Amino acid sequence: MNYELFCSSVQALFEGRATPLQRELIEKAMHHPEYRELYFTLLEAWESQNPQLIVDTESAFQQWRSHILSSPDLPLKRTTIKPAYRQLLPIWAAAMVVLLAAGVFFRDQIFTRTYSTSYGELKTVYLNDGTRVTMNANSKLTLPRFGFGNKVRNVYLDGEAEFAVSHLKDAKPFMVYTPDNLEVKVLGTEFIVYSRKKGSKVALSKGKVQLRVENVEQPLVMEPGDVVTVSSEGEVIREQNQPVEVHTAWKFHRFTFDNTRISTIADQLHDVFGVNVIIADSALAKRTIGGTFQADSAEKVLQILADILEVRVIPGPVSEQLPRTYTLTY
Amino acid sequence: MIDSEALIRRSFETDHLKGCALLFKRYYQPLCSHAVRFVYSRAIAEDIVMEVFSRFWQNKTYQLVNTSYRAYLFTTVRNAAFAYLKTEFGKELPDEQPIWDASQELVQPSTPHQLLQYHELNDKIEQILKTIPPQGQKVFIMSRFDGKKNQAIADELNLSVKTVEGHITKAISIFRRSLRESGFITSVAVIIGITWVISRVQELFFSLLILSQL
Repeated sequence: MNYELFCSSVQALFEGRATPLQRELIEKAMHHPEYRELYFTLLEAWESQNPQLIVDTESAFQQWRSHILSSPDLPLKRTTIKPAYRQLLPIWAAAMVVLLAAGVFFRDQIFTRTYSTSYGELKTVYLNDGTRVTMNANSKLTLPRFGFGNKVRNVYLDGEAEFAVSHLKDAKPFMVYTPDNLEVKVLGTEFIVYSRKKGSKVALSKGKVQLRVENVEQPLVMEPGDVVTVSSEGEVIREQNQPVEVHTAWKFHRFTFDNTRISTIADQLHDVFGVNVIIADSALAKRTIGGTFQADSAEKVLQILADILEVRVIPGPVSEQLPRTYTLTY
Repeated sequence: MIDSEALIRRSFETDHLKGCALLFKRYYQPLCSHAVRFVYSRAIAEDIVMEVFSRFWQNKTYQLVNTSYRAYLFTTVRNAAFAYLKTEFGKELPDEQPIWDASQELVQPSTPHQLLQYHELNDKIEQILKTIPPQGQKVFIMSRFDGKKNQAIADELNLSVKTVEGHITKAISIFRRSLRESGFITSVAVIIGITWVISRVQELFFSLLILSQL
C-alpha cells in the first residue's frame, strides 16, 4: 500500500469527492491496524484544519472536570435541544386526548346514523340493503354508520315503524332492538315494531320473524297476522289472525280503532302528536269506539271523537315549552 | 505520527485524571467539529463529546483501549452522534452502523466498511442541506448549528418569528423525508393496518352501543 496514495485518497474522502476506486482502496488498506490509525490521525488533522465549529474547550473542560469529580455517577445535565417533534409532543398528546374524549363523547354520533321524526311527522327511509322503513311520528331509528350489513343488520328503534326487510342472498339476519329489550330477528318480511312508554308491540303482515322478549327464554316465532304485545310490566300477549291494517293505519295518517278505550286513544295521541289529552270524567275514559278515521293532527282526531261521543274539546293555552293540552269533557 | 499520544499514555500510568484531562484538552475541539457534521447542532455536538469523555472516565475505559485514544474517541463520538440521529429521525436511517450503547464499556472498533459508511452518511447530510432553499438553510444553520433562539434569528434576518419557525420546521421535515428512503412501504402498510383496526373498533363500538342502550 502506497502511503502517499492512501493519504490523498482519505483527503478526497473527507472532502466528499472520493471516487469508488479510492473508497475501495481505503477500505482495503484499513484492514491493517497501522492504516486505520493513520486514518484517524488524518481525521484529527482534517478536523483541526477545517473546523466546523469553534468551541470553548477551557470552559467545557472545567464543566466536565467538576462533573466527574463531584457526581460521577449522575448523567451529565444535558442542554440538548429537543427535536422539533419532541417539542410538540405535549401539544400532540393534548390534541390526542381531546380527540379521544370527543370521540368517546360523540361516539354515538360518529359511529351511528339516526333518523328521527317529530310529532305528527311520517318518514320513509331506505337503508342501503334495500330495506324500507316507514317511521311513525315521534320515533327514532338508529343504525351503524359504517359496516351496516357486513355481517348482521342491526338497528335500534325507539317509537314505531314498519319494516319491509329485503331478503339478502346470504340470508344475513336483520335485527331490531328496542329500549325495553325486545329483540326482533327477521327472516325476510314486513312487520311493524312499536315500542313506546306503554309497552311494545310487534305486528307481522308478511313472512316470519323471531321475537325474543327479556326474561323469556324461548324465542317466539310469529306467523303473518300475529300481533304480540308486551306491556310495560313485561306481560306478553299473542293474538293470532289479527287484521294487520289496524297497526299500519298510521302510515296513511289513519287511525283505526276497534273497541278502543278513549284513554288508549289519548295515549296514542300523546305518542304521535305530543299532546296531552286530559279526560275529565273517568266514565268517559272507559268508553270505547271503533272505526277508521283520517286525520293528520291531534285536533282533527279530537274533533272526530267529540262529534261521536258528543263531548266538548277544550284546548289549553299555547305554550312554547309545554305540550299542548286538550281537555275532553261532557 | 502514531506515537504522538505517547506523552498522554505515559501520564495515564501515574495519574488517570491527568491523562483524561490531557485527552480532553487535545481532542475536545476536533471531536466537537466532527460530531457537528452529523448532528448539525452545536449544543448536541458538545453534549455528545462531553458525555463520551464522562463515560471514558467513569467506566475507566482508558485502561481497556488497545488502539490509539484518538481512534477510540473518534469512533465513539461518531457512534454516539449516529445514535442521536436515530432517536431524532427514528428508524429511517440505514441500520448498518453499530449503535452506541452507553452501558458498553468498550466500543468495538468499527470495521473499515463502517468507517466509510459514516462518510457516506455525512455526504448525504450535506447533500440534503444543499436541497434546502438558501434562506431556509441560513435559518436552519443559525438555529441548529449556532444554537440561536428563534427571536434572535428573526431580528438578525429581519423576519417574523413565525417565518423562522416555518423555515426550521420545513428544513427538519426535508431531513426526515430525505432520510426516509425505505420508509414508504412501511407507511403504506401502517395505513392499511390502521384502517383495518378502525373498522374493527367501529363494529365493537356499535355492539357496545346496542348493549348500553338495551
